Amino acid sequence: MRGMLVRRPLSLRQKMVLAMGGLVLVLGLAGTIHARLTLSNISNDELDRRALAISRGLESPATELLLTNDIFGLYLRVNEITATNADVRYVVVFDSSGDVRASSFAAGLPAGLRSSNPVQTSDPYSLTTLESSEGSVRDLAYPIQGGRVGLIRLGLTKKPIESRVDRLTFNLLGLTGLALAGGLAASYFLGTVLTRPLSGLAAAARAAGRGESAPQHELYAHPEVGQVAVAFDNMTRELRERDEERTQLLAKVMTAQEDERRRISRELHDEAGQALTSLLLGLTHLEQSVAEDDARALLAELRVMTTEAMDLTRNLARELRPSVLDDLGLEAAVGRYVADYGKKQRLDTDFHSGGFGVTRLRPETETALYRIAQEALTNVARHAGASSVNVLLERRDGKAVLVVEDDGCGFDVSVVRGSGSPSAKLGLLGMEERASLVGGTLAVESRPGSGTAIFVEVPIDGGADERDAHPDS
Amino acid sequence: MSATRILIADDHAVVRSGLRLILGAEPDFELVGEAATGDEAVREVERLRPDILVLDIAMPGMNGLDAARVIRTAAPEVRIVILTMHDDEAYLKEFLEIGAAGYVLKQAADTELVQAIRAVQRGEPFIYPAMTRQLIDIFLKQSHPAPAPPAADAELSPRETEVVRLVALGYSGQQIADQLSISVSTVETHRAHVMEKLKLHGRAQLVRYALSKGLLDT
Repeated sequence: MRGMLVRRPLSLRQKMVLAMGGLVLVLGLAGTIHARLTLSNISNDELDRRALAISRGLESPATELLLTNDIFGLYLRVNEITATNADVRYVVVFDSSGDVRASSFAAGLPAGLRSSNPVQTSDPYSLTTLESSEGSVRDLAYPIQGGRVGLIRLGLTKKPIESRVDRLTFNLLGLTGLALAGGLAASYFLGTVLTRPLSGLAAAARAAGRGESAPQHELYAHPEVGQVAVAFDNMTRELRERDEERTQLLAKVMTAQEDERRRISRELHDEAGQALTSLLLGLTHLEQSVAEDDARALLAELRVMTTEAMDLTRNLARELRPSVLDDLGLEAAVGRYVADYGKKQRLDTDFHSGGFGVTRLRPETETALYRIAQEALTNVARHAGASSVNVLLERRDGKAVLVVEDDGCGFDVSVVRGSGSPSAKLGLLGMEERASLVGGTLAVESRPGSGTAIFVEVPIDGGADERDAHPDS
Repeated sequence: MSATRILIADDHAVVRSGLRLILGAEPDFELVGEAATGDEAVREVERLRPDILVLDIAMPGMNGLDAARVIRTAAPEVRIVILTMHDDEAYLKEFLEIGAAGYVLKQAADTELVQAIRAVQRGEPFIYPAMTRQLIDIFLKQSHPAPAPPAADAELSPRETEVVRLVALGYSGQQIADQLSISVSTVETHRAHVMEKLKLHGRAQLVRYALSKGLLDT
């Protein structure tokens, strides 16, 4: 489907979640990095100060012990330092000629240690970080008495600092994760809360489209969506009112049309028909009283013409609105129409009716069903190419049922409803509208190649809707 | 032989005057009165007791149908000849049921009305000849209310019987499918089978079959 390829813009909720997540993540990570750097700087400074302090503490005893060549005393000092300071990896004391006088290394200096941290002559000491098999070590080269007596090399392990920084980082990342989860949940919730009224409105709009709208009162108090909800409700109410007005208007138009047809039909029948009748009778009388053969022949011709005019008038009147429908009811009128129709269209027709008895339906129901039958049969003649039509008119279970079924070419109902020619669509709609105006329903069943059936059901509720066919008897 | 006493009931003065011309030309007819409405016709019949009432259907107030009903009970000896423009079978049937003796179309008033009145006066019914076809239809319908039962009186399965019943009741394929919880095409298949089995054509025949089998009685 083409629609699937179109990238849908993110929903408000998704945007909020993304923004909140991104913010928390960036803040958390930046904070963590910053804290890690700061802590490790502070800790390194502290380590350096400790190295210096230890070295300075060792400086004066070492000076004395070196000058007195008390190697054992120096060794004790070195041992004491490594014993009391857990983070001291090594202490080495060199004399002024660069020989090792005391060392905490049991097996001699590791290779490369001696040259690894040279002290510039201008500097009082030199600090550097060495990488060893036991991890990073902060190495201090501290010349004793400016290098005149010797050199102290002190190594402090950075492991405790590193593990402290790592622990801090870990904790901060954990906190960031928690904050992220909380933030995501909060923004999701917020997004839901913010969009719920909109979703509600969207659902209401869909319902209104189906013609089942309920006011969105609970949204009126909503600070943002309230106005939209009020406007929406006003709109649906106006639409509904307009629709009702339209229906009323349509009913009125149809009633007016029917009244007008009835009136013209009666006029034709009564006025024109009766005038022609009297003309016919007058001509007959005249014909009987004149003696000339020529005149009699002419009068006879005129009589025939008058008779034909009467037939025309009667047919015209019946096509407009058959008086049978008013005088004798739906069953008689439809039966007559179907019979005439079959003759005129050269179609096999079969009409069955039942259940009507002597009580009549409401006039508007009778008119609606008659007109629907007429329209359906006209459609069959026009489009179906059928060879036979069945018309069923029954009254049972509190409803009147009309079925018009042909064996013609049929059609795809959904296609005609959707994109069919306007006239075909309007034909269906017109019949549906007529049925719904009298509270009924209309269904069309058809498939290409298998005929068409129109089903109409109109409820007849009880005696109130019935009028006696013979009120005077 | 005394003259036939005739009352004319038609709401149109022009028609009444035309009828006066025609009927007045017959020496053995006597026009005893005229009525312009159904009510007036009833009153005049009561008062004048004519032999023949020439009655129009469409009249203001009480129409011809209702007037004929009243007169048939109030004065059954008065013979009624309907004079109308309606050639509908339904009207004819209605009037025959009420007990009208004659039925003449206005289109044929010039030639047939006099004939009709004479026949009716002799005690014979008179129907305008062109309506004989309708008369035969009515007769055939009454003598065969349902068509001949199918030649093959095949057995229907309970499901088929149910489908026939619902089709006869005027339900749509979709409604039947919903009621029986089967698909629309299954409904159509059942129906086609039944039509084939019973050699029926069309829904109306199916309805008559269902009626004759008492399937719609429940």
